[in-house]
Amino acid sequence: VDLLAVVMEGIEKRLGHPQVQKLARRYGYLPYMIARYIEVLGEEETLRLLEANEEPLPETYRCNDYVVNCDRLTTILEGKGYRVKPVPFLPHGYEVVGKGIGTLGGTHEYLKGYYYLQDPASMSVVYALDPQPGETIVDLAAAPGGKSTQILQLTRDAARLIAIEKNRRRVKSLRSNLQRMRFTRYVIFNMDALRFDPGGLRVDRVLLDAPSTGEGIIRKDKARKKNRTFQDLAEVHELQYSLLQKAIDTVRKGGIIVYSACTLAPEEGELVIERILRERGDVEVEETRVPGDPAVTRYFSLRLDPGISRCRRFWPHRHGTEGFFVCTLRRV
Amino acid sequence: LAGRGSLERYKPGARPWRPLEEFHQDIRLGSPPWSNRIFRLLLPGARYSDVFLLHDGIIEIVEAVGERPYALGLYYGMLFRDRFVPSLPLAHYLAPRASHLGVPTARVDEKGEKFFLYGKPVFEDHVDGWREGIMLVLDGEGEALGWGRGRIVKISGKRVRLLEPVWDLGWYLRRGG
Repeated sequence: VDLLAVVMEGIEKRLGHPQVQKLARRYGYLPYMIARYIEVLGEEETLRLLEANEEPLPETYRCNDYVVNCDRLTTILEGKGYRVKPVPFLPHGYEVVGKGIGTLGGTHEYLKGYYYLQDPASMSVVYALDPQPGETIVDLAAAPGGKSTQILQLTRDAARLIAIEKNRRRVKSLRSNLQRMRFTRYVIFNMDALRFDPGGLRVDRVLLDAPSTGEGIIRKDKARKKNRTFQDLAEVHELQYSLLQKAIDTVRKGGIIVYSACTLAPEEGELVIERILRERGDVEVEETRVPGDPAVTRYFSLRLDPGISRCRRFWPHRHGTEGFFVCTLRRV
Repeated sequence: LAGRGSLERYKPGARPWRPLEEFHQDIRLGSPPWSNRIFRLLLPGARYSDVFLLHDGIIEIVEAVGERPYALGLYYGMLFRDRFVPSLPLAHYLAPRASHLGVPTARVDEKGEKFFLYGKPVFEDHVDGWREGIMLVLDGEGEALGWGRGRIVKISGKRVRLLEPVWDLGWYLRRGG
């Protein structure tokens, strides 16, 4: 079954619905996006999502407790006029609730590697990966380094991290962030992840924070309401599927793969996992041990593998975060 | 990795490595105990090479993957034909060990820190421990801010002692990416 063809058919049936066209006009989206939101959330909740997407994202950061005591960092930032509060569900996450002097990305503490500016949903991905000291871990799409630095933070710079980034410009920021946050147990390869071969290495965990359409960050970038067609989405889906195949091939038997994408689109989350489960017999969905809601298992006329409900979704209107999909898999 | 660059282990006394040895002498390290874990990344046609300090297991990754690494381990600095520029991660690595190892340090006050991180020279009155030559620059808490060089310059006919940034943490914002 061509999963995306089934979705396209469902979207086309729904496009004629007056509420789809009305909401698309009122909030400035491409109609196919609204049709999908209504399919997953219903009309009333879609309205709440669209309203939430109009609100700017709160400023949040991850305290780097490898370098600084987080209470001390709070005291320092409060001394600069910031008011911060912990994000309830994340051990190192903080939200800025009162602005201080200057920008948070330009303080001396930022330069000293005390924190990384990151959304809570994005932070949750590495907790799902649960990296352990001594392990060999691959980050297949690593720039700008939010998750790579978090892997080494959680292992106290005692795992071996292989960070892969294809883009020549973005690989600079990956290197810069790993160095700024004072980590040393890594190798960066500037290469296409699809060409990566671990050779004889035994890889314990692989993180694939896949390139996405960015539909999850409409709160940050309003252009995303209009600048990705369904065809673009289908192309990104293909790339994500190929990269996830590579991630599974890279990890040892019994090893963990975490797949994530900054998106609201089931095509970039649940349908990538569904396709993998249909085509491979050597991978299982594990419980994704982070907050968020169970992932979608009914989408237009598709009935997805029930195990996919163990993956997690973050919604801007429910969780106050970016839109995000996170899924933990085990190679068996 | 022929044609794509390779890693070369530190060779004591070898000509390309002399600027690094001179730097080690300048900061009173002599031949540090970690010398045998220092490598440089050789790229065909490059004007300089990046130098790294590598923990156990990192080289094994490079050998297994068989691709040229972009960066790895603790970034030690840049090795040119005639000089070595020490890195910010090396400053962080040495800061807690500086007094034990005898590495020359300069502590700057709050105002000095601001100037230094903007990449500006700092007058001696904001510096504790000024000396001529290269120094590890620390803040009031003893945390590394980068590398500086003590220089005496003439301003309006008067000799003034300055601490000039060689590589400061502000680089992460200005150039770091």
